[in-house]
Amino acid sequence: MRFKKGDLAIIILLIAASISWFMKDIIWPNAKNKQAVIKIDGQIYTTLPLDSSNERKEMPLTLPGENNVHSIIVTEKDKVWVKESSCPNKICVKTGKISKPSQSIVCLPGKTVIYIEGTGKKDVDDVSF
Amino acid sequence: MHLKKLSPCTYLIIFLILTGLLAGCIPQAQENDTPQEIKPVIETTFLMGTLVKITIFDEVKDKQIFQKVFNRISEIEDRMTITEDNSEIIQLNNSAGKKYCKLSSDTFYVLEKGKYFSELSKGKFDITIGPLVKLWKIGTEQATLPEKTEIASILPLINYKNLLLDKDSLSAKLNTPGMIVDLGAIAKGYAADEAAKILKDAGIKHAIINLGGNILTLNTKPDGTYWRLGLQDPYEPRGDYMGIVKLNDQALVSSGVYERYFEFNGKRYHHILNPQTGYPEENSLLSVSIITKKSINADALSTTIFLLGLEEGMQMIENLSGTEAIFIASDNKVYVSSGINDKNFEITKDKFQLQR
Repeated sequence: MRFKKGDLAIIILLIAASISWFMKDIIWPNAKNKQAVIKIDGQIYTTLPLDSSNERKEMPLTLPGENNVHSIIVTEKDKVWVKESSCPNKICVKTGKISKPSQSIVCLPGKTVIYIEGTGKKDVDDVSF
Repeated sequence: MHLKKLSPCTYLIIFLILTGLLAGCIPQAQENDTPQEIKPVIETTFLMGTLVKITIFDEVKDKQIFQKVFNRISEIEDRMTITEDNSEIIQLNNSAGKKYCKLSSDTFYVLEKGKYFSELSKGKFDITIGPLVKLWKIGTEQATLPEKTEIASILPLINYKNLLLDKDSLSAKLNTPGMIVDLGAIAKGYAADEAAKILKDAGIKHAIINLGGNILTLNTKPDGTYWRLGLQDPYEPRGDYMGIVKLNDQALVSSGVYERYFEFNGKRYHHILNPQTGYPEENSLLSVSIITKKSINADALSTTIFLLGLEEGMQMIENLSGTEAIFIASDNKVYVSSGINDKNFEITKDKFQLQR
C-alpha cells in the first residue's frame, strides 16, 4: 500500500477539520450563549447579549414603583453594570460590573434584578449572601 | 491528483478520524438530555426589604404555590416590620413603659426566640437593639455617623431583660419607655421556615428558598445528591462565591460586613451593631455563616456569632448540637467548626486559606 499525494491531502484536511472542531470552544467561548437578564417585579423585562465582541451599549430604564427610579444600564463585551441611578442608595451602582452566571445586581426601590445567564452546568445551585 | 480509489490505509485513517470525532460528540449529546436534570421553576418577588427567590425542582402541580408562599411571607412582614404603621411590633414598641400587648403566635414565637438568643449570648446579641438601629439608619440615605453623646444616651435602653413575655396570654411588654424591639436579625429566618412548611404541605420535596441571601433547602436534589451552595466572597458583587457548602435539608445564613454599610470620612460603617458599644462590631471578621436545620436559628445565630467573635463564637457553636459555622477573617483566613470537612465544604478561591 502506498500513499499518494491525494491521500495525504485528504488526511491532512480531516485532521485539520477535527482539530478546529475541538478548538471552536476555545476560540469562540460561549459566543452566543451568555446574556444579562433584567427582571422587573418578578417578570423578565429583557435580555441583553454578553459577548466578548460586544460594543458598549447604554440602555436607559425607568423602573416601576413609587420612586420612579431612572437608571442607565451598560453592557460592554461580556460585562453588565448600572452606570447611574436616581435611587437613594445607589447600591446597584456600587455593585459594579458583573459577568459571571451566579452574580447579580439588585435594585430594591426599583424592584429590579439583573443577573447573568449562560450555558453550561452551573457549579452551584444558589449563593448565600 | 486524480480522485481514484484511495489506498486502503487512507480509508482506515479516515475511519479512525471520523470515529474520534463522533466519540467527542456523544458525551456532549448525553449531557444535554440527561434525565436527571429537571428544569427547576423559579419565581421571585421583593418582600421584607429584599429579593425573595423560590426554586422548585419537582413538578409544580399547584400553580398558586408561589403566590401562597409570597402571601405568607407578606403576612409575616406586616406583623413584624418596624417600618409600616400597623405592625404588631410597632404597637409593642409604642406601648413601651405602659402596658402588655397581645400578639399573634407568629410574633410571640419570634420574640421568644429573639430573647432566647439574647440570653444565650448574655446580651452580645440583643433583640431590643431598636433605638440604636434607628439612630444609625444604616441602609437608608440618611445614614451618618451619630454623635458619641447620642449613642451614650441610647445604650441604657437596650436590655433584653426588660422585654417581658407572657406565654399564656401570648402578650409582651417593654418595661421602659423608649425601648424598641427590632426583629430584623431574625424575622427572615422565621419567614423562610414558614415558606418551607407551605412547600412541604403541598407535597414538594426538592426546593431552595432564598430570602435575601438566607438559604433554606428542602431535602436533597431530585437525584439524591446534596445541594451545592456558594458562600459569598466578601470582596465581590452579590452572587460571586469563594467556597461551596453542601447541604441536605438545612439552612445556610451568612452575616457579613459587606451586606449593608455606608462610608463616612473614608471609613466604612457596616450594619452589625454591637449593642454594648453602640458601634459596628470590629473584630476582624468579614463574615460568619451558619449551617443548621432551622432557618430562624441560622438567622439569629449568624448575627450572634458574628458579634461574639471568632473564639467565643466558635466555642458556642461547638456547644450547640446540629449546628456548624464558617468564619472568614479580614486576613482571608477561613475557620470552620468541627462538623465541617472536605466532604461538605470546599474553598474555590486561592486567596482564602482554610485553617485547621
